[in-house]
Amino acid sequence: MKYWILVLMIGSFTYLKRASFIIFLSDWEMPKWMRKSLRFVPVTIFPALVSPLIFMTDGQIDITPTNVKILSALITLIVASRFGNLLLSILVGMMILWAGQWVLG
Amino acid sequence: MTTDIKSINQVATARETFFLGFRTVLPILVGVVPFGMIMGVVSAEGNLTTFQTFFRAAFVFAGVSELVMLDLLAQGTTIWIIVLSAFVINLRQLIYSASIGEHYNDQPLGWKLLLSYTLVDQVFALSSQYFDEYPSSPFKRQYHLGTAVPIAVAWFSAIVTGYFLGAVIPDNLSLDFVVPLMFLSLVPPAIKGYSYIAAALVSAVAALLAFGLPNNLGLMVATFSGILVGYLLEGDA
Repeated sequence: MKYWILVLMIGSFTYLKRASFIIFLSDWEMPKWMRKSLRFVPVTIFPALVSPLIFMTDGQIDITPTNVKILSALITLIVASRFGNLLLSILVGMMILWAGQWVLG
Repeated sequence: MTTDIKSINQVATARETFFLGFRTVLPILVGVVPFGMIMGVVSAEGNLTTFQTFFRAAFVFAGVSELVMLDLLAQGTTIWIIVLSAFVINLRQLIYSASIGEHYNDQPLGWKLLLSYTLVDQVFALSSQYFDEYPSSPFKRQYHLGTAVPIAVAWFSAIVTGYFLGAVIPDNLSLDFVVPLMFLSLVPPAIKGYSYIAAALVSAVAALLAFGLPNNLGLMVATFSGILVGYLLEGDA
């Protein structure tokens, strides 16, 4: 049930955003401060979303060498900024994770 | 390449413009297919039915929002935080619409509805490139659809493939970590200077500090802290 509510709401909002200026607001000019703030959305929401998934283990902050997720994330970031290839950076990150889990047993 | 497009366009018909968009988008599918497969795998791992998966894919048609939704749903987050997160994470859709809207002013409403539905990242990027080059082209919607059709076909087929693949992949491969890695990979291309790096770091640290807040509210606190820092550092750009 929760799933369907989410699908309907997120789908509707997504459509409204895409249609906003094409259908409803074809004359409105976005204020400068808003345009400027929106530019920072991708570089803030993604780190906010993933940092607890990386730096925490079982609900506790875990910044130790045995937390392989940190190394995996760092290498993924480096590969992504060097090559700009989504698939490659995810593959390398997963291989680091598997290698780390294998080494640590 | 540019001269090729120019010479084609001088004598272009609606049909040719459609196929110009079609051909220009093909190399980009290399990036669309793996992402779609990830969406399918994650949906299967989350024990969603085929109907739940495919209806969502067609209705929302925004991979990142859907991934965020699945991820937060699995963590038991409250509905309004999930909706807000999915809304904010794809606020760029608003920028796309604002930026491309003027080119569709004279389209009939039915076409506007369809063009809005298909305004995904790659379609926006290629169409605005084309509109910059040919501001008075009479075939704007044909170009837009030429890029959108292959994207949609590749995207939905990849989700189907990923879904059935996900059902046979063993559970102990930590495949759920693919999602954070994918979000991370989207950060470097969006960094356009030191203020962006500072914003990203502030947001990552704030998310850890604010993690204990109820309803995953820390996600919003961290995002807005990061945006504020970036905004203040950026000056009057």
